[in-house]
Amino acid sequence: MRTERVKALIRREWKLSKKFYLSGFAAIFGIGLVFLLFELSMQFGNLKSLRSDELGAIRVFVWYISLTVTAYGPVAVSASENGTHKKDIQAKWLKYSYTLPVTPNERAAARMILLLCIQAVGFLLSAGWVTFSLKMLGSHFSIYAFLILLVILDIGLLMLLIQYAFILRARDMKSYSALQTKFTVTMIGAGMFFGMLIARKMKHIAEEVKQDESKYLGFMQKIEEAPEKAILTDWLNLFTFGHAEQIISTAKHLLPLAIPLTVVLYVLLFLVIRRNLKGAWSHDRSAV
Amino acid sequence: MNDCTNAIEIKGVTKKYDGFTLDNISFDVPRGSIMGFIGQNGAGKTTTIHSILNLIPLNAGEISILGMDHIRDEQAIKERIAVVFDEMPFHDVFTAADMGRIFKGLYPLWDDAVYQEKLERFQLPQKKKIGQFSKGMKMKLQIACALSHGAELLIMDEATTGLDPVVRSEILDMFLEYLQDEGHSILMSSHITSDLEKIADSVTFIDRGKILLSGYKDDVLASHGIIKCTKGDYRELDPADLVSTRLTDFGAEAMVSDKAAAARKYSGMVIDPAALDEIMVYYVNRTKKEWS
Repeated sequence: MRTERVKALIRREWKLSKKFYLSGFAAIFGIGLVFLLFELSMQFGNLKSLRSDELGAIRVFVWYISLTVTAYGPVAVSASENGTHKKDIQAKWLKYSYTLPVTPNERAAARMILLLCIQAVGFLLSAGWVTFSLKMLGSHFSIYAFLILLVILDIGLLMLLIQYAFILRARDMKSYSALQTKFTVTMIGAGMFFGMLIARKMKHIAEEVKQDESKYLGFMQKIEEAPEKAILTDWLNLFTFGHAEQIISTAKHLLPLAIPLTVVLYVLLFLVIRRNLKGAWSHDRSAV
Repeated sequence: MNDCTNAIEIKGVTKKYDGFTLDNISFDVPRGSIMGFIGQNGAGKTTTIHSILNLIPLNAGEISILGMDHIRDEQAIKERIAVVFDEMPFHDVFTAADMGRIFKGLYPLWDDAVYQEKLERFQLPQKKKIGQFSKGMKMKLQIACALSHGAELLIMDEATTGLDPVVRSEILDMFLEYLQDEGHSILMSSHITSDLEKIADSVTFIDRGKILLSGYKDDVLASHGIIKCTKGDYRELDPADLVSTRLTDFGAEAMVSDKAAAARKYSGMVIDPAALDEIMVYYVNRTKKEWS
């Protein structure tokens, strides 16, 4: 593998995709600013005049939403398909690139290195803003916050892996559209399947709650009465009908797996990119 | 450097598609020469070029480029060749300077000074986005990139199609300069036969996936001729001597592939020289024998 060639390919891909990533990060930065404006208003502006319990409730609400958006946002942007393959097909570069002295390994390495760099930036942005949001909620960034961010990254990587497995096989716009449709249908199908599984599980939990409704109402009451004192477990209890401790205990065991899982996903992604960008056009003459 | 005598050797190449077969084609591109690869649209020129570049898998046959196997030595070959397609393959957002920086990394023998000289000669702006270039400028940029990394073989697929005569002439001059180095060769596919008649040393004519003619251009032009005669005289000609015949209101124009033999056999008749485009048209109509 020639380093200069990989660098040249990275430079090319960055120039093509930087608008996508920078606008995504800028949009999330803009959303972050809105949360900061809320905080400033709560401290110095009109919202300061609210009753302390109302103010507390709003503050918790704002920073929990901020936590969700900012934790997922930059990582999601950095793990999204940036449209380079489609642009390469449209510009006829894809076909031309196979006349260049570039090996499949160099092709895949360039894409992976750029992806890793972008994801490192996305991850740092997420970690930074999550730390800030947690601080506003009276908490701090921990190893579990890091692992949760890694899980979010893994979800993004898995989606990207599936998408690349489909679309990178395309060599012309006709096959690109067909493969993109197949990917969308697959994701909808998978979403429905897992959605139904979760719904069945939720039904089972809901029946348990019905039997002991007072327990559920207890979580709600606690959060309503003193939202500023609510901790993560209370919120999880609210959303999972009292299964927070069980979920936290399972997560504590499963979260460390996020690190090896991330490595595995990166390796798979490299292999999928290398295999699908390997060359050879289809047997359809109109495609070449 | 490899001392092979042919820049490209194609032996028995077959590629099957639904409704089209590149049928057991063989021809050589001699080193230090420019070969015109002619044929009508859909004849198989692009499929042949894609086969040479290993863009498509073959059903049968062997291809050797600069003395190397086109699959086994693909990387080494691609460092030493340049390809120009009929459509601009660079993204609109890039500039000529960007492309120079990219190619500098991709080709070990990239020469910035040569690239700058080509850009200046073609009057191509460095900082202007390619999306704002005219078709002629885009093609010139593609050729400037192709000629700046010391390529020993230039493969062009309909590169001059759609360009105005002034731009075509500039580009053809540059190809002739490129050929001043005896180690350089060009395979140029085109259906603009006038360009090839100007610069080609040899021609290969493909039709419906089969090679009909391959040889030195002067030999091809010298061996073919058109007998212009009345319809009555035409009936006296031996059909085996004729490629095909164009019937007009005034008589018949029959192409022969061995002008010298025809001149001896039909001594009383006028045999005009044939141009490449005429040879192409008469061969395309060979199955009909008579056409108008």
